[in-house]
Amino acid sequence: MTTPGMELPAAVRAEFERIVGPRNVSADPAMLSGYAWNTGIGSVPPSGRKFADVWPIAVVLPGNTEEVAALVKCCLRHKLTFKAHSTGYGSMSRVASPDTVAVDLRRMDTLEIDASNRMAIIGPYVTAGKLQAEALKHGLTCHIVGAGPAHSPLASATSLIGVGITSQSTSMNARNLLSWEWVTPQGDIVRGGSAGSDCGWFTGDGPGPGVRGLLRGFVGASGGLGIFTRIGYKLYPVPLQGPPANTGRPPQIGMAVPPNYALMHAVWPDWERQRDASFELTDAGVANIMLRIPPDEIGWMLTATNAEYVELATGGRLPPVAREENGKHWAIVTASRSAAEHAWRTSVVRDIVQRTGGRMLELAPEQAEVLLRNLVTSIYIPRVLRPSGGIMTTFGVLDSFHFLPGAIEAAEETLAGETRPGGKLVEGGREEHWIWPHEGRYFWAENIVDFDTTNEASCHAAVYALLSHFAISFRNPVGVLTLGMGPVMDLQGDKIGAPQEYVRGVKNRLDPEDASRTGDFIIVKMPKLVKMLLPLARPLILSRAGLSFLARAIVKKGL
Amino acid sequence: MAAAPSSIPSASTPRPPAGIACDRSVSICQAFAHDTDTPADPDRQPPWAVLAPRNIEEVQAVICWANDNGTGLIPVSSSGRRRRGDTVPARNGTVIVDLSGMKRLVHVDARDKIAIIEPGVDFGSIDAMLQPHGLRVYRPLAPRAGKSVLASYLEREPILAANDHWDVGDPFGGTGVMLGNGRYAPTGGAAIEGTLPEHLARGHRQMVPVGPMNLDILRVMQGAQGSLGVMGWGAVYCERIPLQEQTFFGSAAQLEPVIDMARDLLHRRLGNALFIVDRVQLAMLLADDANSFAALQSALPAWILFASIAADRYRTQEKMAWQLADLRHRAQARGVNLDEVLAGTRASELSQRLRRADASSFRDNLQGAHRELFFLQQLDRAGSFLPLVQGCLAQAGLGGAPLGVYIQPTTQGVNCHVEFTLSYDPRKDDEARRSQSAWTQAAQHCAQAGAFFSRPYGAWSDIAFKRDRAILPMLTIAKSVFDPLGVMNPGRLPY
Ligand SMILES: Cc1cc2nc3c(=O)[nH]c(=O)nc-3n(C[C@H](O)[C@H](O)[C@H](O)COP(=O)(O)OP(=O)(O)OC[C@H]3O[C@@H](n4cnc5c(N)ncnc54)[C@H](O)[C@@H]3O)c2cc1C
Repeated sequence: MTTPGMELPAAVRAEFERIVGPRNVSADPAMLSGYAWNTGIGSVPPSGRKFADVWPIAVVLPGNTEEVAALVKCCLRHKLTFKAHSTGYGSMSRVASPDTVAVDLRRMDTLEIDASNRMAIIGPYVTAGKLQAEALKHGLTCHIVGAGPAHSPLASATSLIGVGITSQSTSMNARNLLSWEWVTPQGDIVRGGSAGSDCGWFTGDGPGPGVRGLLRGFVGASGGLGIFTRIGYKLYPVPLQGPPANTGRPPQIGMAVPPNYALMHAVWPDWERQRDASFELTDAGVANIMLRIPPDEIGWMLTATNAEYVELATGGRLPPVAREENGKHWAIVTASRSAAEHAWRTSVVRDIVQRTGGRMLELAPEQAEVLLRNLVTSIYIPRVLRPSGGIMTTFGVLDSFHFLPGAIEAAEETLAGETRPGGKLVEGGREEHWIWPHEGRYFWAENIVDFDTTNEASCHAAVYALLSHFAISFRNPVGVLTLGMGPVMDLQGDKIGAPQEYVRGVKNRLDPEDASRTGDFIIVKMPKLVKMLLPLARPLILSRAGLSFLARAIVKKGL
Repeated sequence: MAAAPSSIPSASTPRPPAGIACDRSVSICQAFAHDTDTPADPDRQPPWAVLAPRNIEEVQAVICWANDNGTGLIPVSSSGRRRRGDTVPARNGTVIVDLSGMKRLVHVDARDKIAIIEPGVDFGSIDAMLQPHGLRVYRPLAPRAGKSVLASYLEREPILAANDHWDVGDPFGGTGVMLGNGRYAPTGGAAIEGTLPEHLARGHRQMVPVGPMNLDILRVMQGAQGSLGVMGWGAVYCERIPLQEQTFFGSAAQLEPVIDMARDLLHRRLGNALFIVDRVQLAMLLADDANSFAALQSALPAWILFASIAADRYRTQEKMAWQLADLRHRAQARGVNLDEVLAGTRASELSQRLRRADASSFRDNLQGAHRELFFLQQLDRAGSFLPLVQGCLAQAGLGGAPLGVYIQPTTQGVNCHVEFTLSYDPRKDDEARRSQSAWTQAAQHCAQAGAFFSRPYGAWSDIAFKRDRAILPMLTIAKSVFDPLGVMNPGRLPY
């Protein structure tokens, strides 16, 4: 195990304590380990070790925006760097440098629902689960990213991606962020949009240009551009009031299907026909949620343990929804406010499925209840992690459903058979795409890679899949490359208008010393030689041998 | 192009860019020295040329030329009467980049309901272009015919289809922008390897507004008043022309029940077009002359919600039936009268009116001119600004002047655009002057009461940026990153 690399000077500690109080500062290794772990969730542990190589120098817990600003200024005075941590879900908020102070925002959990204007004002440590529970009291819900109820919507909306399975009706978080409060990398407090003019938290753009577009694009700065402390956040009305009634027994908890709700499971014989149906289903605007998950993963949801899943799978006794032959499917949730509306929505779904050559799969009530609960609360992650503990992701798409068959082919190429029997990844389908539409317009497809974090060959296969998806996307794009973070920006950027240069420009103007430090944002100072050589090296890097070499290096060092 | 005798002298100006249509005639250049509500500044030179690029490559050539010569560029996409001062030069030595000739519908995809258009495509012509594809464009409230669709969306003019307005970017998808530094920047879904024709051939439809990477260039361009770059083309989402559409007026003597009903509909995503007006604004929209305005105004109820419900080919009748039942139910619950005809006018006539684009703004029909005041707030606070504006007018002795109110829910009802229209007769000097000062005061009072001037034109710019000084460094960064030599609409915003 690696231990902290730097000691916090006593004078700095005293200053921190003056700002946040002695209880809220720690440099105890036992505490710091909580900010330096890496079990392979959206990342790869270095050579199978549990802890990251780099540990923070200290952790501080501010209680309000003024304290955050004072901490940032204190870090700057002492030439320390800092990194924001909201819930720290997974290992996403690890620090990138041993002089980094982890700024854990868990004391900042204010939550205010403005029900009539369908929005909330939230702090960094309001979790999606808590927000949803509060919002449901008012017939509202919130967007919950695939990370599930435990993550921070503020962190997601301001700093990291923000797509989730209900995006059909709840959009994505770059578009759900309203007004924002932010401590700049220089320690200044800035409010953007309507809150900047003291008018409320209802919009994030203006006066004049929407400068938020410099801080939060598609991906987010992952802590590389200061600390966001409060936001206005859009909520979405649903015909539900109060918490959904639980059914079943742990761990198979379900949700009673509310009145005028339906969960329908439609299957098509090929991707082309599913694509045609997708155009119609989104055009008709019938679905509140539409989700395709790989059938093996449906099996994980419907079984209480890995052992049960394996027993059913090997015995050929998985329920039809979890079988590979039924993998070209949509789980469709309709949510209506009257019996007539319900009848219309469900009839239209049936019409479209029939017209496009699909069929309905009947679900047993207890299966429907478990699946519905997952769909409404997005609580999939424990099950997705159950088989092996490690997951990685690839792709994105965000384009017309035209690309649905192409996205599947690309995912199969990415996994390269490693999910088939004898492969190095967790056994499953030829592709492992999670697919859903956004706003009835375009679709997202995320090829989830489950791997064994304790096995170097499995880690290598996972990293290789991640890297090869970049190569495949560059060669024959099936939509937008969404994981454009870090060095990938430089590898692709010059082909798409060189946005990485502007991102770097913004970073260097706001934070010339790179005090707001993260490993997941952008190469802050690009050496001239590297910049010159990169286009020449690109074919080499993207070759099979190049990718394999890179994957090996990453597995050694961790990701 | 050889300078005619009546052209702006060329001694201190660089040679115009080769191969780009250039007009230097005095009358044309002078016309850009002012607009309808912004008089020419006697100390300011008019632009010395009007350049008319024909495509995005020529736009790039113009911007590179401007960077080489230190010439300020003011992009103008609309034709006809301009207003709000954002295209009036704020510096000497500028040229106009007239994009109104770039009128191509580059691509339409009926299945994805998205079209790619150039900046010269205007509200007067676009629906005829889209109609063969079964689509129509999202519109703001009765735009004039020459108003550029892209310019309207770039300036965040609110669209009537509140339920499809998820975020300020709507209804944009990806776009092709030529930044002030002369470099091409595809935004959102357009940021894919290859050229636009290659994208289209592969099946890409430029459907995402956000991005690329950790940038949201479109968002920064919106509201910039042409001061960061030029949009050469944009993918815009369209509405499918419904098989059936039925329109209604929901009316009440008070604003609150009408707002409550609007909110109910928004929570149900019910209604294509959805907005609230007072009787003056509606009379302005519908009347052809002063007489019919007076008759309508006195016959109409105080507050009116306009809502349309529609259905496509999917069980059309059934959908219309449950929507209608829902609409009726909500109206009854809120104590709002629901009618298809109000004061002799059918809601369907208004619906047709909303899809027609006249040469000039309907707001000018009554007395020849109007003043506008608009900002963002939330539906529950929208009504609180009316007494402030009325008070300012009364103080100026204009208590009886026709003052219209328009409330447009935006971002699916999270916020709303509040707009006041004051009709006046520009030939009555004294009245025009008094209304001008009352209007300035009204803007200040509204700002103090919480009006958010997200689109700060003219004098509102001072008000807005005085209230939000902390954002100024971010504006400076935007300018220095995208337009480092400051060629785009110089002096327009406080960068
Ligand atoms: C298993 C798993 C599945 C996931 N699935 C998805 C998915 O489907 N879709 C998706 O969009 N994302 C997904 N994510 C990533 C997810 O977006 C983040 O975990 C989450 O949204 C951010 O919330 P958090 O509380 O976890 O943030 P943290 O882990 O605390 O932080 C995430 C990043 O944002 C920065 N950050 C946090 N708070 C602030 C702040 N206040 N100011 C500035 N920077 C800040 C951190 O420094 C860090 O870089 C997944 C992550 C995991 C581990």
